Amino acid sequence: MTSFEKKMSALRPVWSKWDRTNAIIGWSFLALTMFVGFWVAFGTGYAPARNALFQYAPLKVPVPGRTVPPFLPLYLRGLVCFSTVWLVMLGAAVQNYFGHFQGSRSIYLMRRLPQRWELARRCLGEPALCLAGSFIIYLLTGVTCFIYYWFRTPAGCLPPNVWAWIGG
Amino acid sequence: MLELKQLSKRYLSGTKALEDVSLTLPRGEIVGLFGENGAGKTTLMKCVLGFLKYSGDITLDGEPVTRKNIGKFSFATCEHSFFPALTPADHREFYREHFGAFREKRFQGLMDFFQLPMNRAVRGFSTGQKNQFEVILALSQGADYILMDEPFAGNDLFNREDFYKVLLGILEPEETILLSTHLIEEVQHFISRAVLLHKGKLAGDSTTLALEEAGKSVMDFVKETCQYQPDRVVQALSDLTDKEE
Repeated sequence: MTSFEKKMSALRPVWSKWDRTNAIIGWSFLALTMFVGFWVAFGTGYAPARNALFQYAPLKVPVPGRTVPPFLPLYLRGLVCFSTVWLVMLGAAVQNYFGHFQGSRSIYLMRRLPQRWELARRCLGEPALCLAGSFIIYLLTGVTCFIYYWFRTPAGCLPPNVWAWIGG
Repeated sequence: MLELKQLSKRYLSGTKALEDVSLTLPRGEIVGLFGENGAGKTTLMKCVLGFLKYSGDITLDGEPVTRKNIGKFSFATCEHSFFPALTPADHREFYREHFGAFREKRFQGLMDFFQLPMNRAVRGFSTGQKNQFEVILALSQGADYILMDEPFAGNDLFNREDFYKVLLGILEPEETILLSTHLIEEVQHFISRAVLLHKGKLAGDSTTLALEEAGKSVMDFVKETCQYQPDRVVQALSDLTDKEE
């Protein structure tokens, strides 16, 4: 086992070894799912708002004075996906802990290790890593969503506080 | 020296599992811990290891039991504390990594003696083999105090006899065993001290030498201290058969 594999295995329960192939598949699935989920959450908020900028009969013309909502509320819709990840990772952490009671009571061994944080690290390590990774994906998705928001919204239809979402 | 001072444990249900138990275990003793089911033997061991909250004091060489000195204890339990999905070889790696005093030679020697496979997941072992492996881990950790909670449940007599002989042969003078078991007649010949718990209280504590000088066996000591009534069974049977007639 390489040094990296050992470090990654140390974030998982003792009985679960880190595997490069499974990790690549898992992270790719997580990233894709989250990206699609965030985009669906954003898109289902943005699309109706963009459509409402126009009237369609008899011709598609912009309605004067209308603007799309600020970016931040649209972006925060993605927190639903993030909350789902939180719940799943919480479940994973709980499963990791209660795995020490299945088939034996390895919890007795883990609780008397001289290394104080060993049990916590092995139960929480990988779920915490997944949460951190999904948060990074959320931020990166936010950038792509904003680029789309910026370029797809007709000129003059952006709200006045368009940079408020990053404190501008 | 392991010292317990007025150790008490009350569970949330209100059950008093231990009440004011005071005990001193110097290094180098093989102590039998006896008592009826529910006497508090397992609770006592779990309190020593820090698995349960308790009132009273537990010190090891004058210091409270913390992460700094917890490695001086090992634990073999009938519930098994190994990782079922791992092989003994994996366990050896784990113990090597986490316990600086791990005794590799003793581990290998005991594995060879009991003929346990090194590269099969422990969940595939028989009950007897699992018990043996649990005890091997406890003996090989490099601990000063080896706590064993009914480690022989499910092992056949010959297996147990082999184990007792090996145990006596490999233990070093400074190693201490606290052995909880119901097999009094089997262990009485090699323990140096018998501690008896009864309904959570310390009911008796005697060296086997003192008992021998008094012309008593450990079994006699246990029966006397627990006020065992041998005619109780006869009386109960008599009552039962009388009622049916």
